[in-house]
Amino acid sequence: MSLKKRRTKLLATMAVLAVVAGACSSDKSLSPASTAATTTAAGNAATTVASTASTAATTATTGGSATTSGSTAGSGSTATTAASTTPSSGSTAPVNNLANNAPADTAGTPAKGGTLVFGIDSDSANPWAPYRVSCAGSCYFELQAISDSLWGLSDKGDIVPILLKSVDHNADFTEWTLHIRDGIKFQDGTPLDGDAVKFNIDTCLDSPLTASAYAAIDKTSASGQDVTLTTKGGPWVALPAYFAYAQCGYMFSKQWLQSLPDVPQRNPKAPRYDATLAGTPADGDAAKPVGLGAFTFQSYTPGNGNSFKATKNPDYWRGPNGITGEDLPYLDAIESVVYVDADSRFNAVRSGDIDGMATANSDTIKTALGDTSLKTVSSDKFGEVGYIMLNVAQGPNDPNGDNAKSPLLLLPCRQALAAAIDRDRVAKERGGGIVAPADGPFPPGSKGYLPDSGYPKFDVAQAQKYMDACLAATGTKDINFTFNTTNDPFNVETNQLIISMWQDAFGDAVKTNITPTEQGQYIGLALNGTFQAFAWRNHSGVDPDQQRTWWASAAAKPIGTTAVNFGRFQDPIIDKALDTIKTNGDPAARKAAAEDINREFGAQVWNLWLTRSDSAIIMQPYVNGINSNKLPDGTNGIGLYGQQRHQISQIWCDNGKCE
Amino acid sequence: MTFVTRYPGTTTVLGAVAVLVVGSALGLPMILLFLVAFALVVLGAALVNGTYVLRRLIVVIPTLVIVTAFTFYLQNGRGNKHDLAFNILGPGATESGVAGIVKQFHLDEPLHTRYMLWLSDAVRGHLGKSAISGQQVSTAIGNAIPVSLQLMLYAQIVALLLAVPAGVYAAYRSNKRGDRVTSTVALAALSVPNFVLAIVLILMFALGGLSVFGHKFGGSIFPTSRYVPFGENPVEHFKHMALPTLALAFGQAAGYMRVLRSDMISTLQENFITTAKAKGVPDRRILWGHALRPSSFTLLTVFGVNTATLIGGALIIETIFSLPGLGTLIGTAIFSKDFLVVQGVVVVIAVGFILINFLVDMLYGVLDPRVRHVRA
Repeated sequence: MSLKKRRTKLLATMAVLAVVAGACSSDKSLSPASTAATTTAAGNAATTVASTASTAATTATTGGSATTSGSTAGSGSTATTAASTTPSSGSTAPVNNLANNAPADTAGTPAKGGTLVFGIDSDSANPWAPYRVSCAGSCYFELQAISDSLWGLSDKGDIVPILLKSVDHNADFTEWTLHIRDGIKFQDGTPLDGDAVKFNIDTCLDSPLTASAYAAIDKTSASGQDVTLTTKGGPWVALPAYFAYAQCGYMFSKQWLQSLPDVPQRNPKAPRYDATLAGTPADGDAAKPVGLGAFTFQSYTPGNGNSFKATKNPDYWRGPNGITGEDLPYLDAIESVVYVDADSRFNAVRSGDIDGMATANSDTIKTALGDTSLKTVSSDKFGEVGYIMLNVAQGPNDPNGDNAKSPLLLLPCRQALAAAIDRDRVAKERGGGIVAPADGPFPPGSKGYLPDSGYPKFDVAQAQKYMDACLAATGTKDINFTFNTTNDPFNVETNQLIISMWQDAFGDAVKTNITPTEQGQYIGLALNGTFQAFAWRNHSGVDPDQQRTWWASAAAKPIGTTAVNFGRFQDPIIDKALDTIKTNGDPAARKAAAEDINREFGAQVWNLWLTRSDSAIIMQPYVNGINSNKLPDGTNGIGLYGQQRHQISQIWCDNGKCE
Repeated sequence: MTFVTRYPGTTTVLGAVAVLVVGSALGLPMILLFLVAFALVVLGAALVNGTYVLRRLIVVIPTLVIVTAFTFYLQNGRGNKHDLAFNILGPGATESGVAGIVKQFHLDEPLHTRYMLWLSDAVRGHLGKSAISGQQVSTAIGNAIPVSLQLMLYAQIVALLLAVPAGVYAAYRSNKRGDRVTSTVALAALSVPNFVLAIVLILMFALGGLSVFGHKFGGSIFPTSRYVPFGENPVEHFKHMALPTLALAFGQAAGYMRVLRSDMISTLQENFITTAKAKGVPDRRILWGHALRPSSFTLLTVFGVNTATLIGGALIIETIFSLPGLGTLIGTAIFSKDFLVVQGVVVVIAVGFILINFLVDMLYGVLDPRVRHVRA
């Protein structure tokens, strides 16, 4: 064969092979969207994006993520299944014991030693200084390892001091004085004193990421071991909740923070600008945190498959050389490894590659709860709620009339849509059968929870009556609105189920289609109010005041303007109750106000509630103490709660070996 | 010295392999080893093909500009220009927070201005910082490249080890039972997406085995995921790379086998093969000594295309096995609109793609002296 012929044949073959390879090699033919779809089929590829994007809302000590994955729920409970070496004749049924929150994995005498390798779902953007890190749920694993918080939570959810000896406030809650424990040192040897705490808090007050959550703090001052915080705009009863196991509650070395190039005090536009500090070298690395926690930072490499490593802090203030007489931590080292894909993470635990993992995936939790070779702790304490957010912007908040014809402005239409959703079915089919339906924002065990909030129950006949009233009000044969969700296939399917329920109830009277949207754009739509119905998940938190950010009328701004009251509802009853919660120190009055909010949501149907959210820690049988949280004063603190939050320093492995 | 002079291409390739093996054993940075190895191979190609190498190298620059500009447009020419800020700040984003990120990343500038800003930095060696992790893009790529290159290298070695004997055998037994069986297996392997194969391999070899009709196949032999650097623990390294390598290699091997079989059948009908048979040369020597080399053109071309694709294209496999390579790096960056990382990885992939194919071109001359003469 001549060279020319050979070359011609070669080119032809290449062309054919390129087509074959393109068809057969998924790697090179996938668009980003189809990649997500495919990997989600094998797990949940969008987890990382969603978690990364849940960020600043979490910063504000409340949650917020742009997903409605049917992950989870129980009912204010912690469920635990202990691994058994005895073969089971059947699967272990998930445990949701409402009455018993006692952590079942804390039995036995803790053994010292071992390195715990733990799988998390994503990295956090801009680690690790609290004022800058966009804290995905899993970032608390790192924060809790490296540092401790000013306040924490008791096992009943009460706010209790951790790094503080005591706290004083004046009669009207406008001035808080924090008395810091003596003798605590950061890992660089500098002391935890009033000055250090003040500097930490100041960074959060001036950071664009965190400032809105702490806008009620006006001034900070330090003297010795004391810090005084003065509020503006009136009393702030719930101030401690914003520093209780919350991002800005974790203290880091002032010396380290000062060395960071973007620390707000170096910014001339920041209210607490420090010209002297700005003139000093900014040679610190925000990815190499210096805290005061049970573990000392060793290394961190971002990215899937990479890890954060920390080793035991020999001078931990709760350790043998510390000030409390305790003997923490038990582990020698910890390593958190990012597994973007949920199934890969779970497989890694099942195969023994890693010692434990966190997840909010209901299917994974269900499987793990039934796997007797693993130990699983799940909880929906203070967790999120999944719902469909409705845009009700009108009047000044709809200056161009974009939303003027939306049927969702009409209460009967909202009630009709709510009453036509079978939330039990959603919980069963999209939540792996372990989630609980929600009829309000507050989970059981939270202030404001009501067994019956008055939210419309699933009742097709009643829904039709509401729809008749709705159509009479609109004067049309049908209602039409847009419906967005993220492009995560799971979320799309969940919301397709909702639409099918509306179609079952109303036929062609409801016209809407899912518009899948990628994450960054999705959040932008919410912030700008350019949506009508919108799948969402949010509202974790230990104190109802933490929801002020999302629900206050003042947080509703015109469409096209950034606002975190995304639905732009303005409800005087909710505003009044939020004010009571913020300013009234009487627990009963605060509880009643939170319940008023719940009832008002039920009456006005500002959101279409779907299911509760749950999270779980799945471990090897030799891992113990995930739910352990003995506080410095010897009382019990909270175990697993919220978005995969738990303590690190009291985890231990059998015989001091995590293997 | 005579061997070196006579076979410069072979010598430099052997040198490159030696650099990789010895350097890895000494724990030297993989990125450095690959660069040295690559430079050696290019040198060998230049020695074989002369100035043709330089002429081909000139094409790299406009290609890179076109590829990066197109990628930049795809990343930034759609959606809301503030998406990056929303991704970083999340649902709690404030006006001032968004404004700060817009300013930091020039998000309000026209697209061409932003591209030129990036390009002017890139040509000076500054690929910028990841908007999400804050890590230098060059550092992130430097961490990821060795993982992807190792995965690619292992997958291709395994694929060739499987494909060449199978391809030669199938050609030798053309249209007979052995050929049909081999070709059917290859077709099946080509038809199974590698991510499906990956999950089957995990179930079979990492999660206790698969039960089929009451019989258990496999066990818990390999880990399911994670990356262990070769220098840290060579045994663990290969254990962790085994399943992703196999997941990638099977499909590749099937393609290679079919290509080689086809070319080999054609070669075996050439006059020089008939002559060799007439002279009584044993079949084994005819197949491996006479027919294989001239039958490797298409195989080499496909090998080059696949190798370059694997550098950044093993996204799903890297994700499933939690390997921190270029695939997962760019995949995560695309989802979060971390465009500086995307740009950086695209540059690396494009350079890799161009250079590997260029290298394949050079190797034609090594395989067949007639190509050298035509170029000369």
